Amino acid sequence: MSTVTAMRTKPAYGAAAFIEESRFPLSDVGGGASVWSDPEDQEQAWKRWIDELLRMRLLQEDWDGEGSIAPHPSLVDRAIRLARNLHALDVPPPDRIVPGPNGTIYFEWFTPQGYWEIEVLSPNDIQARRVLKGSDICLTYQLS
Amino acid sequence: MKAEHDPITDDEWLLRRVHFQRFRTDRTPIISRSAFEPRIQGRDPDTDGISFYRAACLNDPEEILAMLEPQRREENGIVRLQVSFLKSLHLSVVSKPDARVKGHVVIPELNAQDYQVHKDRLLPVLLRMAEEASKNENIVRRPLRRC
Repeated sequence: MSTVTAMRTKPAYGAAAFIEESRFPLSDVGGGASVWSDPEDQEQAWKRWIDELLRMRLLQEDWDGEGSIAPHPSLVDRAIRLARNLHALDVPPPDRIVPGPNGTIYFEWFTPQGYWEIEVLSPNDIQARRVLKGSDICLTYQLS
Repeated sequence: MKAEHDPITDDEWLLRRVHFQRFRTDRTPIISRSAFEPRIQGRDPDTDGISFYRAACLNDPEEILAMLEPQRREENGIVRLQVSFLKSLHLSVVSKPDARVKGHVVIPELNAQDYQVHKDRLLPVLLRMAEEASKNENIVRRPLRRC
């Protein structure tokens, strides 16, 4: 993780909230993500993403006109908790948080080393995946 | 212009609608890999594979927005991928005519059932598609809303 990131004051969410997310190899994301060099940018970016997640709570069925189902509010709430926990763990903000077509929510990071994503499938089912640059192999981590 | 029954050739371009949520202008790649994720549930699951439209069968790429409600059209962009590129990913393209818009095709390997079982195997493929679709020359239309 970058020095700049480590210097930022961590929000207090309680250590217990970190347990699941700590199973994700966070240092790889932090070490690779260079797009958020300024800690203020990171702070603002996490805030923007949490606002975006709050907006996702309002999505209705067929929100994209293609028949996609909307993420359940309890799933969105879990995604918000995940975002707060990752922020507190000094993980750089993702490059994108996006609702998938199947009612799940993705956090996506593009780093020089490759691609990372966390998919919130339900309030009790969160998976992380990574694909290293130039690789056709996807590694999966069950976070909860 | 080609007819729907004409053979699909490697040099053809295939068009796909992409909702603004999966489109970003301030990050690379612009397109999320979720833009190519098969729908497993919802109104119209991708049981036969995700949809594209053959540009060669259309007068105007924006014809593929016609099947959306008018207020939804501005929320969508359009990207294109070449048949030869999809084949390089070991994907195939199969015609599946749809009365609403000409040139409808599906990618059978990216179907709902296989995606559910082989998500990990298909993720690198979706990433390659998103990366290719994000190239400036492959963005046919950007969403008019929220980008």
